[in-house]
Amino acid sequence: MPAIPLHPPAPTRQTNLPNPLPQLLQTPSGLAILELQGTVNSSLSTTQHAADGSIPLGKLMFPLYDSSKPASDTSWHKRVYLYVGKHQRLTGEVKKLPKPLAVVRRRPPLAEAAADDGGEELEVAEIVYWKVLFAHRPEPVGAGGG
Amino acid sequence: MSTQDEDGIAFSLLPEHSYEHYRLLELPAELLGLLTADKPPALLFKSSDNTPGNSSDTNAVICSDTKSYHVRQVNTSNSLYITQPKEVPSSDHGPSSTGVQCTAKNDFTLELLSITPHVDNVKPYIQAALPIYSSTGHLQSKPPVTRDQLFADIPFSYAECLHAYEEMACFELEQPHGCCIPSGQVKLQAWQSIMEEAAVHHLDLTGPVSVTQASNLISQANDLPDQVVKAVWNAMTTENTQTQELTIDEESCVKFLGLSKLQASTQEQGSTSKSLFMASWRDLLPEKWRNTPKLDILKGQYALVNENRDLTLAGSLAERQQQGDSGKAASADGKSMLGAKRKWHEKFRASKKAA
Repeated sequence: MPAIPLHPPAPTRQTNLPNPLPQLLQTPSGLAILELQGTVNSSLSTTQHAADGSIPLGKLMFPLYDSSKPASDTSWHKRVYLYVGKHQRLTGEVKKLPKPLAVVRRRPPLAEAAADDGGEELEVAEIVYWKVLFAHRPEPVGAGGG
Repeated sequence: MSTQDEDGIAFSLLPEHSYEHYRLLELPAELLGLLTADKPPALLFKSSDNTPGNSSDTNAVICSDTKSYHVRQVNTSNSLYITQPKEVPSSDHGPSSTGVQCTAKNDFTLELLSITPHVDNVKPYIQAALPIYSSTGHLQSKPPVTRDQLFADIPFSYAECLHAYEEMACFELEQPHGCCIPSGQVKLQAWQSIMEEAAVHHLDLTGPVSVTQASNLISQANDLPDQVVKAVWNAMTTENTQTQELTIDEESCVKFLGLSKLQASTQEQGSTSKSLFMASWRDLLPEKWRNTPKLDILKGQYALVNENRDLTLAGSLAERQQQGDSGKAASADGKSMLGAKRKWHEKFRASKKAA
C-alpha cells in the first residue's frame, strides 16, 4: 500500500513515572532527545547489565538548574553534565531544536482494529522542542566528583 | 558542588539490539500547527514507485489534506538518542528512584520540504494510471481503479489530487467500475450537449445558473454517461457559497475547451492548422466570449510545428519529431556529424566495438 496514515499524537499520552528531567525537557509521554558526539560503546558483558538488560552508564546532572526559578530563567541551559562511569564527564547544554521533531513510530495495533486490513500505520509518539546536546569529547574527572 | 553519587539522574542505555524503532521527523511550522491543534488530523505518508518520466526517482512525501512535503533523509554527525523515564531500583533496598534510559538511537532525521503545489505536477500521475474514455465508449485496457485507489497512489495531498482530477474532467464509471479520463472528443461532445440544452431553455451560460438549472443541463446527454457531462461541467464552474448559484468561470472554460479541442484535433494527424484551430475554438464558446481565446491561454500545452503554421500537443510525437528535425539541421550546420545521428544502432556502435 503506497499510502500509510501517520496519526497525530494521542491526547491521552502520559508516562506513569515521575519525570526526573527539568520541566522544560519534559513531554507528556516522557520522551526526550539527547544528542551525543559519537556513540556509546560498552565493554560490559551481559551479566554486568542491569536486571532489565540495560547498560548503566552514569548520571545526568543539571548543576545550575533550580526548579524554584521561573521558566524564563535560561542560565542553567548552558551547563549539563553526563558522567560516564566514574572517571569521565561530558559537558553539554540544553538547546532549542531549530525545528521541533516529531518522534514517529509504528502504531501499536489496536485491539478493535486488529481485524481491520492489517495495514501498517504510523503515529507521532511525541513532539519534542528541546534537546540536550553533548558536542564535546569526554574529559577525565576524579572519582570524588566534579 | 554536589557530587555525582549524591545527586543527578541515573542514566542508562538499552543495548543496541533492544532499541525501539523511532524516526525523527522535522516539523515545518504548518505541520506543527496541524498536529498541535485541538483535533489534529492524520497525515499521510505517500510514495510512488512509478514516477512518470523519471523511473529512478522514488520519492516519499508526507501530505496533509491540502499540502505535500518531500521527505529527505538528513544524516547527522552526532547520534540522537531518544530517552524516557525509567524506574531505577535503589541499591540499598530503599525507595526506588526514577532515572532516564535511552531506548533508541537515530543517525538521521527526516527533513520535510514543502512542495509548491502545481496542478500540472499531478496530472502525469493521473494520465499514467487511468484509461482514456473515447467517443466510442471504448476504454483502453488498464486495470480499473476507483478514485480512492487512484489518489492513494499519487504522491500529493488529497486536495491537490482532486484539483487535477477535476480539471481533467475525470469521472468514475459504474460499469465497469473505475475512473477514466475523457478524450478531447468526448469532452467536446459533453460541452455541445450542455450548450444545446442551454439554447433550448434560453439560458445564458455566461451568467449565474441555479443548481436546478445546472442539473437539467447536465442530465440531457443522449449518448454519453451522465458522469462525463457532470465532470466537464464541474471542471469549469465555481460555486457561489452564499447564493448557491453556479457560474462558469470564463478563463477555465476557454482554457478547458481550447485544450480539449487541441487534444481532439491532433489525435488523428498529430498536428492541426493554427488558423483552423483558433476558428473552431471560438465557435465552441458562447457568443459573449468569442474574442477571449488567445494562444497564450494554452501556454505550455501546445507546441508550434511546421514553421509555426501548425499546432500540436506539447510532448506529443509530432513535437518530438519536429525537434529532432531542427536538431539535425542545426548540427549539420555546425558540421558535427555525431550530433546528427539519432539512430540507435549507430549510437550504440561505439560501445559495441569496445565490448
